[in-house]
Amino acid sequence: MKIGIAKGLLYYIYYPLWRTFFEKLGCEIIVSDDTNKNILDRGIKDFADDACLPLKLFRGHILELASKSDVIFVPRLVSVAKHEYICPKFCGLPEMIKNSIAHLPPIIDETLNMHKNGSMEEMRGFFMSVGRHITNDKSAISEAYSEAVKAQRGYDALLRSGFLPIDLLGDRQDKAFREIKSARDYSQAIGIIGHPYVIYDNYLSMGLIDKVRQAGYGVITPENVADDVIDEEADKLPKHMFYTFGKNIYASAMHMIRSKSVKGVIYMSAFGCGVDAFITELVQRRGRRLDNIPIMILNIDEHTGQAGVDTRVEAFLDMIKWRDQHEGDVPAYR
Amino acid sequence: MDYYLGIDIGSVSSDFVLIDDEHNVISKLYLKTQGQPIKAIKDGLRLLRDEMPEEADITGVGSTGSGRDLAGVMVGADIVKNEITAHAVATLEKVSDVSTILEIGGQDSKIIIIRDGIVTDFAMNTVCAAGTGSFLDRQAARLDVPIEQFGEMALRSTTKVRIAGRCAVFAESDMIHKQQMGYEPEDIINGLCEALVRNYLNNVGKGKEILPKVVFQGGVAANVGIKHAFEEALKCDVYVPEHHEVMGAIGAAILAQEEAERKGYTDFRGFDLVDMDFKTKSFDCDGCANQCEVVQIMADKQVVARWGDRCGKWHNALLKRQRRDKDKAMA
Repeated sequence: MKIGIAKGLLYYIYYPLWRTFFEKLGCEIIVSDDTNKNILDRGIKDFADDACLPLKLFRGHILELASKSDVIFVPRLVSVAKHEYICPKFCGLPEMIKNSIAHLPPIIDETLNMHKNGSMEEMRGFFMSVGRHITNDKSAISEAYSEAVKAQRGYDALLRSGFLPIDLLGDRQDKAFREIKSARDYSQAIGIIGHPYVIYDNYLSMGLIDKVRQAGYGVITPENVADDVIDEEADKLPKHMFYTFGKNIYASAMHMIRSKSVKGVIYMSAFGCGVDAFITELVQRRGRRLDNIPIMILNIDEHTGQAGVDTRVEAFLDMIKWRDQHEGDVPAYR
Repeated sequence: MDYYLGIDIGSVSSDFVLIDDEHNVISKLYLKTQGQPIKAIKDGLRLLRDEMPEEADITGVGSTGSGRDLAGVMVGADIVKNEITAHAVATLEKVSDVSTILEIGGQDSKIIIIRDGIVTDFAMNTVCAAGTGSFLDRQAARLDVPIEQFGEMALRSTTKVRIAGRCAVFAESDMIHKQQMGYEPEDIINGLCEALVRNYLNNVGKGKEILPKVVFQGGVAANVGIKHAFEEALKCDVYVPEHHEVMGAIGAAILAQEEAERKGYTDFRGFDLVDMDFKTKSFDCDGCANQCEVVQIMADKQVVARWGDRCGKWHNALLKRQRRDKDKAMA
């Protein structure tokens, strides 16, 4: 059976988990191409106008998969952590996809909701339901799940050690281990924060990560920051933040600034993101209170030309260099 | 005599300056781009050539502004720099004790925060052009007031009129509304200046610590109404430098000097380029689904620059060829 997985939204976070699970059950995985103009154009056409750009793009990826797969995996991700949620648009994602595309292959749209306990049991229950779309052999599903969790843990460990999803997923992996250095190997780093489906999608982000690396800086993202560090920073807020990715973005930015592990922070946000509307403000205000490390917000939308982003990034890096030459201190990143 | 040329190609104006090696401005030009940067660059250079002293020699060229890549290719710039860095470099040179730079140009506006002589923070306007020169230009045309007199008129205002400044469209309908209520044009124009400043400070200047000495530059700095509105809002003096409209070009020239001295030569094509035929051609690459529109700059039928390809295939192929040709010429 060919399972279609879209290269969008939480692909960058969970792909090893999903891939291993389906492969162990004997499925062939079809991943959509890297985002390109055609995928974006198709996604935007005739879709809910007020959806955010990454959601529209996701739809484009599903359209790519429609003719190539027997089944498409579009899980309903409600919550992946205790007392937290993922953006509400994810709850309605399967419906948005099903009702906006005609002649779709069947969709696996099981619900993952770990809001109550945030336990692995909830995760297991989700995968048991997903697996039943493929086979009735419960022990095979259970085994595939265990393998998948192992693969995901390995992936997460690499992320925490400084690699980024774009280094590890797709055809860049071998190259990554050979050439692309993790943030630790650079003497200085820039924090790039934002939702994973914005900053790791090279088309949407206009190659932001590569641009910063080419300028000679390592890149640290929320995915490089350990969970306990994130929780510690998030707990400093008067209220519990209940959007998982918003929390990760905010807390990792505070950590980067507090620990002085970055020379600057670039926050890339997609137009129409409700979570970002709050978090960009919070990061700027609280970040400035902590230290005078520069923070730049980059807003992207479907019409944004490359030039605007290039000018800002170039000026930002110029400024970092300028500040650095005058500080004359030893690199802060160790 | 060694001179350095700085070129700032913006959306509205194209600015050229010549400086000597002590950064004195020898001559400056402020031309309207009028949507034709290639023509503006040629016109500018033609005028400069005529103004240049006999014994003068251009020993470095820098370009900046949104048309900096095109200008850089056409003239053979030694350095192509973004306008934020260029503005900061020039202002620090001319007003060394500056703490805040307010810059309002044709299509964008920026704030640059400087502490102890280094840039520590900056911001540019987002996609909205509500607080920029083109908006003022448009409103001036609508009210039938020459843009040059706009500021003077604002200063003659006697009654406060509040105009919504959050959005250019709202501002315009608000102005029409106030005008139909019988307010004097002076008061409406003054209200508009205040609205623009309010919008700038809330949008571009949001969260920034604006400390004196405040320098106001860019084309809009010629507007005394806006300068006055800034002084009212910030409650401090706002200083408009002598060459405020060409500060970006001065910065580019200073950077060009540094770069040319480092390299030991200049890539300047020479003034003959005004007689060369520059054309932009484009084609859709069908190498992948991105179908990038690849732009080619042709100089006398020879491709001198390419951009627009996301993967860099066309761009790099050209660079490779140029490098090979250069090596051949050296050997």
